[in-house]
Amino acid sequence: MDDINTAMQISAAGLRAQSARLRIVSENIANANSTAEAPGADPYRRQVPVFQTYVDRAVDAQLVRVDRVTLDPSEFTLRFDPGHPSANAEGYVALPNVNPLIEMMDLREAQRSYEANLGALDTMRAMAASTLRILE
Amino acid sequence: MEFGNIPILPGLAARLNFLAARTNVIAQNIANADTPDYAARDLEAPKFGQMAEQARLKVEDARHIAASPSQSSSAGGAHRVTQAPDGEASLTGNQVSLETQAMKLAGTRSEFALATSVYRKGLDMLRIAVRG
Repeated sequence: MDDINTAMQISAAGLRAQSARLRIVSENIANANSTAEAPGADPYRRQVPVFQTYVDRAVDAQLVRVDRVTLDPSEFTLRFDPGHPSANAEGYVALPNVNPLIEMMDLREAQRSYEANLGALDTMRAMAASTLRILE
Repeated sequence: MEFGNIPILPGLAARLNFLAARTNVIAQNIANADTPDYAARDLEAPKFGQMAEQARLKVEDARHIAASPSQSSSAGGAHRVTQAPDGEASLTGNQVSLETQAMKLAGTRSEFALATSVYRKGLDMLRIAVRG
């Protein structure tokens, strides 16, 4: 039963990490059109979560967590719109480097990984239940 | 009738221990399915000869006393973790295939159900012996 409880904690760590990723992806999608506050400044930059394996001494297992959130260094797209409040001196507005298609793919992948962890958790629960049924 | 002398129950307990430890490793693999440079792991399946030796110490002389199975088989709790990458590596260097891990987990789950039901049957047998 000890191992089953540990496995449940590992799956819970997986669920936590994937939901953190879902949160970051939603931030990216929500800010897909957030332009700069000041004229000529940088708009919203896409965030990328990086996962990391770590050893939790209390659980004595390798769990997963979001190690850091990095910024995507790719180029902003420029749109000619001189009337826009964020437009630079030449009249171009920098748009965030968020591609909604890529974000949707990432969202789906995070969803699948979340479901996989949930499935593992369900298996552990069923195993614990069948162990307890020995007592019946 | 001594409880520990029924060889099937400690053997099944060792089996359940192994299967629980294996789900632990598979859960780690699934949790780390998106971690860069992580390769899947698995537990080395216990060998039959090894288990038999653990269950009963070898008796080479008539004056030796054979250890009772219940004392030694529960001691074999440590299982060796081996690297078992799933072959396909993603762009981040991750080598975990969720499908393979799901299959392994489902297999472990049904083996666990089998072992627990055999355990229950063993207990039922005891109950019949006690109640008549």
